[in-house]
Amino acid sequence: MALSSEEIFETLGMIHAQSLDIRTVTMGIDLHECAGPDIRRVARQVYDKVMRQAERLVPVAEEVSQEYGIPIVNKRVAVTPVAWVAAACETRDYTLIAMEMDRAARDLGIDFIGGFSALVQKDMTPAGRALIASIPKALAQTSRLCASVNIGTTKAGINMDAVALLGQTLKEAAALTADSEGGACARLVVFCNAVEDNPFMAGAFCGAGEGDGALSVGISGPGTIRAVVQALGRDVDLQTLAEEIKRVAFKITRAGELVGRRCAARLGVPFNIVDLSLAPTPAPGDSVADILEAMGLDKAGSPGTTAALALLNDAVKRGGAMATSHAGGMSGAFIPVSEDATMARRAAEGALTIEKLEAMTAVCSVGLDMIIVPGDTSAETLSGIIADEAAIGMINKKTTAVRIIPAPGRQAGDHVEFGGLLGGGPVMPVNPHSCAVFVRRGGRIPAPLQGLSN
Amino acid sequence: MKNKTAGANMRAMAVQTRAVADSRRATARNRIVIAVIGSDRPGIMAGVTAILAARNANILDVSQTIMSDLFTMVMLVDLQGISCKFAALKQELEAHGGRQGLSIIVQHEELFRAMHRV
Repeated sequence: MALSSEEIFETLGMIHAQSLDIRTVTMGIDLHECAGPDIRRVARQVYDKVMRQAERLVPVAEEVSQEYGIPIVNKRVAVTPVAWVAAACETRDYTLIAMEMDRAARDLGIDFIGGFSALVQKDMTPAGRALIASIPKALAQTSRLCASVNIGTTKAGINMDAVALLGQTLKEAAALTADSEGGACARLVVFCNAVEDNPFMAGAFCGAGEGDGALSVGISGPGTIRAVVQALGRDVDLQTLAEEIKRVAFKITRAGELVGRRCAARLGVPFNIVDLSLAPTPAPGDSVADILEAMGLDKAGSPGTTAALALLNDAVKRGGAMATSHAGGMSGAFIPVSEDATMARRAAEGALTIEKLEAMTAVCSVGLDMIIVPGDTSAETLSGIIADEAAIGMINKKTTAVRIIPAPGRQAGDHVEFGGLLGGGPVMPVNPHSCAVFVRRGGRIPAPLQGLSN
Repeated sequence: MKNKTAGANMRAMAVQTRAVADSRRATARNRIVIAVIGSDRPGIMAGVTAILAARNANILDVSQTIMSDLFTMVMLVDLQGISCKFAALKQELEAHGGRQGLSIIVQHEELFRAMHRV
């Protein structure tokens, strides 16, 4: 059937008026073959492999973007968790590998490289511990490197020793980058139930079951969904709203799948997954909070926010799942505070609190994301926040994460700006009561009954 | 007997439908959509079609309307056999749009098909 002018102008309107874009094409690259005892040699091999595998990623993505007329905002690489690659190294300081990864990212012209990561959900190997210890320096000396640590799963429980360590890691990383408001912490994610094929940063890495190299796509499109919800007006019921969101999510996902497949084919690598996530940007109108408000909330964060978000998240998945043969990654609406202009404004106004955000993460992807807290927040309190979020993920068999920035010298109510896609936002007040004794107990929160699924 | 004939016909139709779908998929990659938007005046279509003709691009479908003095046109164009690269043609059309005060958007048809057809 021939396309109608209405359909063509609908797509053009989505792209040119409602900021529809592909958030990221992310190439996963396996680095196991780079392992060895000499860290200099390992770092060089990591650089070489990333350069070889992703050599044409940027030009191909730009070419496909031109031909299909849809912007691809970020090009990224996700590698094997470095704790695995570096495990055989004689040294325990992995900064050199981080720097070579960052150099490769710069030379390739990509936006981020992820995978300075460790999976320590049950216990830490010496390499896992060494990687976590290397994170502050590694992030402080790089600009495109992203780090992540998985500290819990539904099957393993929560490794509270690692959670306690990461509270301190965040403080150290913030202190080392005090001149950029603790910006290193914006490139560090702490996960529960981390996924192995996530194309989104800062948590992307190439998991153990992945191939040598494959391309994934992360979709975007909050502006498009807001426009649809707004056009429906204030009187339609929620089924109608869900149905229309589902339809537009289908279209957005099909665009993502097409772009991903074309990029993968031209790069000569397999196509991996489409991540059905609604990823906002600080650009006006490209906001998940705007959708919630268009659904009928005065301000995101008000009562009803969690329910509205649950509806939105599910409708996006329904439409998206039909549109792609391989959904994966996070696949859910993101609620990063500093990266979503309306979300940041509502947090500044006090309408949106950390506690409400925590509740919201129970029904969407991915967690307490890009939250700026006072610089004097203690390591134990940061660990407590991480543990709470991980508990939600562990019990609900879903991915949750914490990306929190204790901005040095800043107090609640200050405004902090990171720039670019990371945006900016208010310093949010943290509950002042201590959880230090609980955090310092250490050990492991046992895996819940939900984990016994066999 | 009757049922057998009906079955054979259905099978033949299915084969034909598949063939049409396959050829459509194959040609979709060579086809582009050109959308032109701007204030109406004589010669807009002539300007765009002249560029296409010079590059040996074949127009398959045109739809044009005026909405409150705004000229809008959508063209489906086959690029098989064009005498330049897609990127060059796109650039030429966009530059023409810039000179004439028109928005000219050029992209592969495949994107629209992916988004609007199940």
